[in-house]
Amino acid sequence: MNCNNCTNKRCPINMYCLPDWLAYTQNSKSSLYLPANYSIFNAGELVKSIYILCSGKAKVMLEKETNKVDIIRLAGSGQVLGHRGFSEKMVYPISAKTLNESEIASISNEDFFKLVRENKDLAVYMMMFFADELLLSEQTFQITGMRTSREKVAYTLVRMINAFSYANNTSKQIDFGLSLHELATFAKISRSNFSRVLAKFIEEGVLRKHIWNYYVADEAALANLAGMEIQ
Amino acid sequence: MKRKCETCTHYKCIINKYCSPEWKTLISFHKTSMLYPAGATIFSTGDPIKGIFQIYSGKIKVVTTDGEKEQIIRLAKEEQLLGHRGFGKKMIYPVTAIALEDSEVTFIPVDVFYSAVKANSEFAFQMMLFYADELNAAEKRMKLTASLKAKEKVIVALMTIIRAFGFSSTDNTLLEYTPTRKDIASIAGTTYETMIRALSSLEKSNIIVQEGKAIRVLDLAYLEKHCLLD
Repeated sequence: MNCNNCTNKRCPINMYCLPDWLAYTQNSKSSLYLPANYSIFNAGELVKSIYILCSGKAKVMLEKETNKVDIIRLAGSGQVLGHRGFSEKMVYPISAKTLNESEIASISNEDFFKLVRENKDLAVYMMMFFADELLLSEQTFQITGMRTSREKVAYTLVRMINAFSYANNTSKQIDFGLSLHELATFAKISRSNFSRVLAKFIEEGVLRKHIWNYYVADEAALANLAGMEIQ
Repeated sequence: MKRKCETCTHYKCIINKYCSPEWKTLISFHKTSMLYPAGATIFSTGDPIKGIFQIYSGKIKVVTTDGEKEQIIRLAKEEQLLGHRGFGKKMIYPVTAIALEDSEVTFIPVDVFYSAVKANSEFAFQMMLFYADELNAAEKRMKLTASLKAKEKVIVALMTIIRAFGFSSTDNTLLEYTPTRKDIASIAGTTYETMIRALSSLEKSNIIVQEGKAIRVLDLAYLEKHCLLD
């Protein structure tokens, strides 16, 4: 992907950097072409760059003290990865893996900080992005104790739609980038329970199923159950 | 009382440190100041965000509520920002801020704050890093909450209080501010009874001493070593 003529409207570099800085990014970034299930970075590693998913899908995982791994975020094309490592220690607290074949731009810390300092709109976007991430993170934490299975499944579906967009915007076909097992891990419920709730949503007209694909039939109902808007 | 950024001596304040003199004057023009007695609410969960707050003096707790259960997620004192949680797409406070003691809090309207962020690149950059640190702290808390034992949670709570408010300037082992026992339980995420037991256990081991409502730390190195949040 060339930053100078990129059409990805979800990429903050593309949306908020001035043309000269797009050229700078194109010359300074490294492009990584990774297969599915490939580690992008691991918890404990030093933060040397920030990553943008030019295409593909990724999951971000937090390993708990109990050795249990929670998926805490899903990211799709145009989204930022590795920002959680920006702290005093500059060490990743989480790990990220590709979910399918992905093209990832790696921008060194030094270059990224330069971009933020020189592009006001990017600076504001990044500040708001972190603010949203903070809010989402705390909401995700609350999912464990506070929600019913129905709400957990709806929340997981909306997080996934917001990360990956629809596979088809007109038919509102859900782009499942995760296996059922991973979806259940994200929702913090069992696989069978997740399947049962999906079936119930179809019965109630919240979702629709055609062959192997799932579609959102009632966005408002899904968003209401999730307590979160579909963007 | 009108507080002016251009003559302010709060040198750790992010606005004082990273905004240009012209912008400090502009921010001062739009900034308002309010006095809140102990126990007063500065903003509540669900309120729309109209600006950002900064503590001029006093101490504040930031809480999330789940039904009747309250969890303190942050303690803040003078020079620190307040109300930044919730900035983003929704612009609604997800938390409540309450004064722990009589406090003076300034308020900058959201459009002035945004303009200052856009016009002062270093300020914007530092705000981004500030949020990154907050995200990190929140996730560390989440990672540990489920797995910590009660005593470890209380040690984390004590270190949170020490890091937020420090020790008395005239007595360097006495906490500068000791929240109520109920609030300490709320920081630790334990019940009141469990927290009382954990404090007694730390007292028996000569780590702390409870002097009425106040707490004195006898072995800071022990608390630091056993604070699993680090």
